[in-house]
Amino acid sequence: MQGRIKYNVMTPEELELMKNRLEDLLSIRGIEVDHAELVAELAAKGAEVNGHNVKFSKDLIKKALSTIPAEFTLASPSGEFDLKFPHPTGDFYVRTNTGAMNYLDVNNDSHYITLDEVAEWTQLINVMENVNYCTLPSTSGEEVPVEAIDVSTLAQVLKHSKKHIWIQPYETENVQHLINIAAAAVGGLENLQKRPIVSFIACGVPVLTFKNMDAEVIYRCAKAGLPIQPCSLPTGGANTPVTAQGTALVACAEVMAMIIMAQLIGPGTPVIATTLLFSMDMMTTYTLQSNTEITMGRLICMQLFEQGYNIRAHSYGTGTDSLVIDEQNMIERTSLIHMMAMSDASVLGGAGQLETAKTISPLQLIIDNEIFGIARRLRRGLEISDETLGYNEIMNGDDKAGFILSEHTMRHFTEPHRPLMFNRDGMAKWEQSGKKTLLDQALDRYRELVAKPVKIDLPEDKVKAIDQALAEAHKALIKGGQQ
Amino acid sequence: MSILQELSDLVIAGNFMKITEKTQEAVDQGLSAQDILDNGLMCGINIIGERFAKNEVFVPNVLMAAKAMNAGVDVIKPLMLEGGITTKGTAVLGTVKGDLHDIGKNLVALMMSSAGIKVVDLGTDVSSEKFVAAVKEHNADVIGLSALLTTTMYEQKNVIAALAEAGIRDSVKVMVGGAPINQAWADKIGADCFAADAAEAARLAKDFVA
Repeated sequence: MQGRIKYNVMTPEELELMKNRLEDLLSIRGIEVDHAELVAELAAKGAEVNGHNVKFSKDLIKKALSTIPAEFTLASPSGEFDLKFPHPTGDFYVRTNTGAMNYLDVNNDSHYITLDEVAEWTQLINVMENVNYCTLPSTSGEEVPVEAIDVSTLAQVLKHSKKHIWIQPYETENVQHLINIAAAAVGGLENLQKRPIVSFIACGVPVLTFKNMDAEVIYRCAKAGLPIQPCSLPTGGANTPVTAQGTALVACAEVMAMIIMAQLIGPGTPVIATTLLFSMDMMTTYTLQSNTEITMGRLICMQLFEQGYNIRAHSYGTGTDSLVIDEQNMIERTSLIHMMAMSDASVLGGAGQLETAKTISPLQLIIDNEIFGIARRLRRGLEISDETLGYNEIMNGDDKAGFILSEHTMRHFTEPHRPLMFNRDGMAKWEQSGKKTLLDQALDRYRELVAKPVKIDLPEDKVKAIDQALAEAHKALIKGGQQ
Repeated sequence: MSILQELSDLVIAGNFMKITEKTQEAVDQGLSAQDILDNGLMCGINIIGERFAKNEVFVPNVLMAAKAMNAGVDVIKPLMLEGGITTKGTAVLGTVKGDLHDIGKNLVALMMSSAGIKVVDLGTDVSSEKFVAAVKEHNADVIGLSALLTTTMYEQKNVIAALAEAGIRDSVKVMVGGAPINQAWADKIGADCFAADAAEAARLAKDFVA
C-alpha cells in the first residue's frame, strides 16, 4: 500500500516516454563495464558485448526484471529492526548519511571522523525511532590505515549496530573482505545469505560507465545473493544534462543497468533502485543537493521505478547545502522531506547530514528523527468516513458542551502526531523552563542518550570473529604490513 | 563601432561561430596580432572575468567566452608565433592515483584555460611518477592535485614528496583541492595553496604565473 497523498510528477504518457528512452539507452548506446568476468558472464546470458561495451535488448531487460523478488527483507543484527520490502503499511524506511568525512560535534567543532565517533553515531541510530538503518561514515585515514577505511569502519559498526547496515566499499579488493567481515558477525556466509544484515552500494559513473570496483560489487553480491542498492550520483550540468529531467534519465538508466546485471548474474538478488541526484551551481560550481528542480528530478526517479517497474526505490529524503544547523538548513531539509514523503519512495536517505552530505551531526540526526516522524504521519494521510468525520456527533447535536468530553474525542485524541522536542506550550511556561530552542532540546536528548549508550549485545565469539576477519583484511590490503 | 570592440563583444556573448570570420576581417584590415589580442579578445574575456567575480554572469558564460576567445586566437596564432607572443604559464592538472572523479578537475582546467594559462590535463588516477614527469616535460609553473575521497587525499602528500625527491619541489607551486580538502590539510602536507573551487584555482594560478 502506498501513501494516500501522492505527488505524481509525470503524466502516464511522460512515464511511458521515460521508460522507452531508458530502455533505448541500454539497448542502443549500451553501457561500459570494466570487469572482464562480469562482462563474459553477461555475454553468456544474452547481452551483446563488444569489448567493454554491453547492450541489453528489450527482451533481455524484460527477462532480467522478471526475476526481481517481489518481497524481501533487509535483516537487522539484533533481529528487532528487520525491514520488509514492500513496507507492510506503505510507509517508507529511513537511513542515515553515507560516506561523510566530517563530524560536527555538539561543541560545534567540525573535524575528520574518528572511530569513537563512528561508535557514538551508531549507538545514537540504535535509539532513533524514525531511522531504520545505518550506513558507513568515512573514518579518517589518520585513525585507521587508508587502504582499510571501509573494512575498519564496518567492523566498528558491526560491534555496535542493532540495525541493518548499508556498505559503501572504497576499493575493488576490499569488497570480498567486507563480505567476509559481515559474514563473521553472523557465523558465516550461509547465515548472512539467510539473514542479510548488510547490503551494498554499487555506483555508476555518468554517463553509463561502471568502473571495476562497482562492477565487482554487483558481481560478488549477485553471486552471493546479497542485497544491492545500486546507486547513481549524477551532477546535473556537470556530468549529466543540466535539466533535472535529463539527469533523472541518466540516473535511472545507470541504476537499471546495474539491476539488470545483478539479475542476470544472480536471479532473485534483492535490489533497491537508488538515485541520488545532484546539480552543479552554475555560479559557484559547487555540487548542490537541495536545488528545487533536482528534488523534482528525484520524484521522477521514484515514480519511474515504483510505478513504472514495480521496483522499490530510494533517494535522498533529507539534507542541505548549508554548512551549519541554521535556518537555510531547516528550510531545505524540511521541504525535501515533505516532498519525498509524498513520493513513491520506499527508502529515504541522508538523516543527520549537512554540507551536501560531506558532514554528519548528531544533533541534526536527533532533529531529523523528529522531522521524519512528521513525514511518516503525512504519508499516511487522512481517511474519510462517518467515524473520522464525527458525523453522528455533529448530526445529533452532541456538541453542547464542546467536544472535549465526547466519546468520539476519547476514541481519537491520541492520533495527532506530537513531536517530542517541539514547543507546545505558552510563553510563560517556556520562559520558566529556560527558553529552550529546538537545538537546546536536541542537545538535552543527545546528553541523555550518550549517558546510557545502547549497542548490540554481540557474543564474544562473534566479536573475535569480526576482529579476525578484520585482521585478515588488514594483512591483505595494507601496503607495507601496517595494521 | 570599431572592429576591436566588436571582437570584445563577440567574446562576451560567447559567439564562437562568428568570431573566426570577424578576427580574420581584423587581420585583413592590417591590425596586428598583439592589438587584436590585447584590445579585442582579451578585453572581452577580462570584462567577463570581472562580471563573474561580481556574480553577474554564470560559469557557462565564462566558458563560452573562453571558447570564443580561443576561436579568435586560432586565427591569429601564426601571427603571434611570428611576433613572439606567448601564453601566460603552464599548469599540470590531474586527479590523484586511485581516484576517478573528474568533474572538479575538469572545471579547474576550463577556468585556467579561460584565464590564458596553458593546461596539461593528465586525467584521473594519475601516479606520482606521471605528475613529476609532466612537470619536468612541460616546465610547469603550477601543479593542481584533485582528490574526492578520504582514501585518496593522502596521495596528494605522496605527490609532493615525489616532487621533492625529484628535486623540483621549489620550481613549481602545488595547489590542492577536492571535497575532503581544506586549508589545514594543505598546510599539513606542505602544499602552496588550497583552492575551494574552480574559479579560485584559476585566480590563484594566474597570480602564480604573473
